[in-house]
Amino acid sequence: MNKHIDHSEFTEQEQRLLVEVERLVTDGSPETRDEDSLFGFCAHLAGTIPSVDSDFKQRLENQLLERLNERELAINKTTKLNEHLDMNITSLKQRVIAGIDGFQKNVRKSGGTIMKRRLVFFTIAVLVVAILTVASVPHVRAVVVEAIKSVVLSPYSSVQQVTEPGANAVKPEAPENLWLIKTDIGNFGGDPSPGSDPTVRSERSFEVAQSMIGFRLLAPTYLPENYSLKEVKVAPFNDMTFLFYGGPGHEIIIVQMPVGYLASDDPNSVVVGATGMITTGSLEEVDFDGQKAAWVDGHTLVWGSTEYTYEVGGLDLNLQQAMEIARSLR
Amino acid sequence: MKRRLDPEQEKLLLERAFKAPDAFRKIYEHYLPRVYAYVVYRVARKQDAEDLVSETFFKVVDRLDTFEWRGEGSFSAWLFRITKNNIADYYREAGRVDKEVSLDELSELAPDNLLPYETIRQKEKFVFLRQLIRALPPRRQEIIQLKFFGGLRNNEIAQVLGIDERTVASHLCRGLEDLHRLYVCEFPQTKKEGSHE
Repeated sequence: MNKHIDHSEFTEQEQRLLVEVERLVTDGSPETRDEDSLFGFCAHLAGTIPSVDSDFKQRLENQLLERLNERELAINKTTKLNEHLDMNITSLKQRVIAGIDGFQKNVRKSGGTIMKRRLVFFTIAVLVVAILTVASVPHVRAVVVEAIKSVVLSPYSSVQQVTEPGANAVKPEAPENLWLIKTDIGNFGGDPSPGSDPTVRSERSFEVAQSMIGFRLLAPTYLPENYSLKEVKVAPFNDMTFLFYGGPGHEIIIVQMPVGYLASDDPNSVVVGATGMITTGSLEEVDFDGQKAAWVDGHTLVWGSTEYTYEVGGLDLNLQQAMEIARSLR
Repeated sequence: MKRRLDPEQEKLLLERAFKAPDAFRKIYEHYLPRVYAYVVYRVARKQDAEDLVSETFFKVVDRLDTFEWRGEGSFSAWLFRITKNNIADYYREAGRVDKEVSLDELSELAPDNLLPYETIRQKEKFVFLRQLIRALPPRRQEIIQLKFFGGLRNNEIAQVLGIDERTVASHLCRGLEDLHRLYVCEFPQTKKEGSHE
């Protein structure tokens, strides 16, 4: 493997060492045991490998296969539901880019179809591009906005980079019930949960905010110096929560929301939460500790699991700082 | 024992992992000993090591549908990044520190057919080598552990640690040289006992 790099800066012994170590690691148990030599010592080291307890191995294997089966079922369910609702990335783009008005209509249309099966599907659109900007795009113009790049973070979360809308924007009316939260890193909005008060709730205390929502809110254990919690806002859709931290620079915003299959009061309905983020700025797929994540507009890190979607953003943050804050969420 | 899967075979197995338990089982059986060995060298206590290994593989299952094959070594680098981060969380949470453990708390280190005194000798050797490795700078410790116990190639280690492959090779050489020097010079008696096996 080391053939790809130039080893000329290494001594002859080091070059041989690299080759020998590679051979040891590739071929497994060594034969030589002359520990006085460096190569013999390496063989000795490679031979001191802890073995796995067979009971543990079997137990874990059973648990993993069970979990794998559950995951496959969940993915299949989601796929079928998504297909049924035409809830793929393309349609999400079309709905959102078509403007909030169009988005609402599509959700209604999908909901109407699915209601026959006693299912209810709600989608929240998280717009990095200001909603009013998107909303200002006339439908004729809006539909020609093209996707440039997509990053799918989980079955329920994606980010899409699109072309700028045309300059001759005409501002359509925003839907009545739309909730909107404006932040430094973009504006967030969407449908409220049905029957709920569309008001955005605001608190100053993390504990009070926690008591208002139905999932465990994570707080950062690391923040840049002199930053502290300024405000917590809870959107009227599935307790989507925004933590605002103030400090010497621009504010830092942490967004958390449960996604996937959500608790529902109606035993005959299934509620699924999903987020779709649209940006006309930059979008980069990044590796966040082994997990796919999106670095949006050069200031916001977005990642998700099958249960939650998270964002950490701030106009002063670089990717490393955003990741450090994200890692510290507890 | 061959410690690497053929890349094409690995790719196929990963593609089929959700639908075919056998495919997942092969991946699991191939990687479990490597992940386990790496974790044991990092945390030593058997119970903690098993918890961390379990957590790692659960995360793998949960995130497998988001994994993207990017050629040979991409899966092992992904897997060991998850493992490494789990270990970092383990030490960060509850303010744990890496310290020596008693022989009773250690994982088994060798095949089951060893005599009791041989098992103890193996454990002593493990404790000794682990102690030596811990005397190295953190980066070199990490690279040697990923290399020898995780069985990773240098380019895979580079991906896990987010550094250049040449830097990995350099740390590996210097780290092994330092480790060998410690082994031979600073602990001659222990070394002598270890070599009687």
